[in-house]
Amino acid sequence: MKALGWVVAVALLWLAWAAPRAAVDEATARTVVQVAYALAFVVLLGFHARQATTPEAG
Amino acid sequence: MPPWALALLVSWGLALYWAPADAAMGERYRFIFMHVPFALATYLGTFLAAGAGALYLWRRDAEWDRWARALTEPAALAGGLTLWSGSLWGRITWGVWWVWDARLTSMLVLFLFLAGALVLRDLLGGGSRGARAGAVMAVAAAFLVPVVHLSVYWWRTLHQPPTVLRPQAPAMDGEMLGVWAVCVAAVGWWLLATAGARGKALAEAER
Repeated sequence: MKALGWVVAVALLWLAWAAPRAAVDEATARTVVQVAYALAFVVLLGFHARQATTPEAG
Repeated sequence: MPPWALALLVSWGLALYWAPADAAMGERYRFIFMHVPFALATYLGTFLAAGAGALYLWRRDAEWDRWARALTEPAALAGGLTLWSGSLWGRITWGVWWVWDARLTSMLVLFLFLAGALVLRDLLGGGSRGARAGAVMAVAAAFLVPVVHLSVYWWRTLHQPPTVLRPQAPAMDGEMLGVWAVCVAAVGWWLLATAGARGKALAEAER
């Protein structure tokens, strides 16, 4: 879980760095879009797994 | 892997590799296959949570409270992902991460209502006070949805007007529209499946 957190953090930082460049470069834009989709997919999977876990009562 | 995840992989595969590039926006437009489905999932989750919340306020049945909470959680996440993907798309196409225009601001307020409903529940404890507050917030959030959607018509915004859900025919190529519809269905499936899993987990915790 900790490793996944690092992957998400690095992907977010990379997106923040690459987004301004993607405005002018088509190849970077394609990669930015792909990384954003991959990141969203990981977040949805992680959230679903957490949701399906029985919470503490009360 | 859950079935909704496979559907999402297929739909996003189509969005990234099968749908043609846009004539004006190139590769950047592909955010539409993620950003808009998340926004619509936020609307759907909010309406369903509000329905469950209203039923709880009427019947005082704990089962409706569980569903209101189970639906508010993925709706809030979908709202957060809408803001995140939109901000990224905005930086690429507008040159800014954020502007305080009516669409972005009203979506942020909707997200804060949903997140606020969850926080308020926990702050007031797991009893009926928390449940009532969560239900009222969810119902209030539902009234914001039309404001968010129509904000681009009511005020002058940097955000574009709707491409598909508008009075005229969709302003989208048929092939792109087909992929978009598949993406909307897959994200909707995620929302309902996740809320279902949460609803069951909450019911088990209470047993």
